[in-house]
Amino acid sequence: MTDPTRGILVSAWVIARKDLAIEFRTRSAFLSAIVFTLLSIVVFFFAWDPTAVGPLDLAPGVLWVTFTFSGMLGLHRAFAVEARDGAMDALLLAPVPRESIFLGKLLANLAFVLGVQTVALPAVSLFYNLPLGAAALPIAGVLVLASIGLVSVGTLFAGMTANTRMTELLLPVLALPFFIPVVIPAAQSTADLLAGRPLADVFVWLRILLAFDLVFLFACTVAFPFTLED
Amino acid sequence: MTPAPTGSAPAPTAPTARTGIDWVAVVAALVTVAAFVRAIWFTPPDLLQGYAQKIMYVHVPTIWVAFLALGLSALAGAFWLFLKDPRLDRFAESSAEVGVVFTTGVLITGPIWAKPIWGAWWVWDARLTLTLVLWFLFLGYLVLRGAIDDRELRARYSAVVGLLGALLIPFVHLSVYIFRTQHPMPVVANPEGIQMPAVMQVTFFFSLFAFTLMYVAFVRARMALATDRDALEDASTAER
Amino acid sequence: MPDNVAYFHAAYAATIALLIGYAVSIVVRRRRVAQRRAQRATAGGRGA
Repeated sequence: MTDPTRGILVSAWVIARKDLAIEFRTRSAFLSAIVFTLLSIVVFFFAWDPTAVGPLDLAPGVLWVTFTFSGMLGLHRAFAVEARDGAMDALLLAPVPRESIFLGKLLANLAFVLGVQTVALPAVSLFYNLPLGAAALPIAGVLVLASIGLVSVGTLFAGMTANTRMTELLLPVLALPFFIPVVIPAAQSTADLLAGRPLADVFVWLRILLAFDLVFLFACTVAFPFTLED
Repeated sequence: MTPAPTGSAPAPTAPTARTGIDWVAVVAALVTVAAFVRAIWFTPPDLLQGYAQKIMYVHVPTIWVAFLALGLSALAGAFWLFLKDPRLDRFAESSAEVGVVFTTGVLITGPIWAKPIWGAWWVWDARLTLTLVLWFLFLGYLVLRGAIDDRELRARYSAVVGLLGALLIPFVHLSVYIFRTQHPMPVVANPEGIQMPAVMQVTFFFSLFAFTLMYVAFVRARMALATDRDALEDASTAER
Repeated sequence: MPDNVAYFHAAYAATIALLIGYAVSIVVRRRRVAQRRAQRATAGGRGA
């Protein structure tokens, strides 16, 4: 690994740790995201006629709609903590590359979203009576792949919308179109895996997720410094 | 006093858009009226598709203008990031708005054509979904612009959203395409193989030309609006 | 030939309405900006 890359990653890790420490001490956003997720899972169950639509057909959609929206809750938090007392300006003055700030925020968001998912996935499995069995590990893999894509785009847009009027409304309006090509492969491969199909059947979806992750992780990291004033 | 209709007020310091009759707009309007007249009264309906086939003369040029407008908007944003010329940002803004209006037109005329020809108002086909996503994307783009007062910041953010949007398109297309191959839906007849007689071809290309002119006229007018608005803002801030 | 003239009329009417509506919206917005400039110019003239 070249030296500048290493420097970027090290400072990103420091920033992520700082964000996670704040989150760990207050726990406010994390707990509300989990409660929101559990509530949605429960509410969604009653939105369909369970005798007409089997839980196997329902669960992937519920899982992904819920993740998408609970992820949004976490994304707001990332830059909201910097809004007070000019913390963002202080962060920008710190002698770290701007890519590090982005990657640090991204890592903290990723940890946040994955944390919510480790609660949500068993909850869906419990409430919809779907033993995960052998599919648990591949589905966890899909979750991680999809989260990287969601969080890359989401972190960039959260940083931008934090500086606008109507922050809360603007982030979903901007970010949701970008989540479409993540949610389609993620929900489809989750459905296939829950139905007991072999992993080879979902490779076509995993490839899209992986490509999305690589393209947008790179693009958003490069774009982030452009969103800051010189 | 009665408000002066167009720019006869003493001009403040900032430059304003040229006022008076915009001849490009006049020509575009005349050519468009002619294209509509030709499509409605002087082009025979299709033997197989009936009168609904004539929707193509407005639908396809609308698609062309919509995609052209949104593509050029993203491109102008990208150039702005390096050149920082406020005119590029005003162009990006104007072209995006015109693009959203024409995409709205696509989403209105598309289903009206699809119902009699395909038998369904909407099909989750890759192209239709992509058009819908583009519409959402650029509506979000316009909402974002409306939520930022600082001109420089607005231009930055818009440019970034436009560029990421361009990266998004292949992913939407690919994922919807694979979704469709895995979940076969009612197959719709593909009427695009129909050979167009010369009289229809002339109408089609005339209409395409008219809509392109209209794009130029709309963007010019919208840019003039943006220029005037920016000048007004400059004058107000200078006074304070 | 299928009878679907109504769709043809609806699509053309919608397109024409959209184009005219957008053109009017630009004209109205330009006029509003021009009025605000005119107001500012007269107010500024009196104030100075």
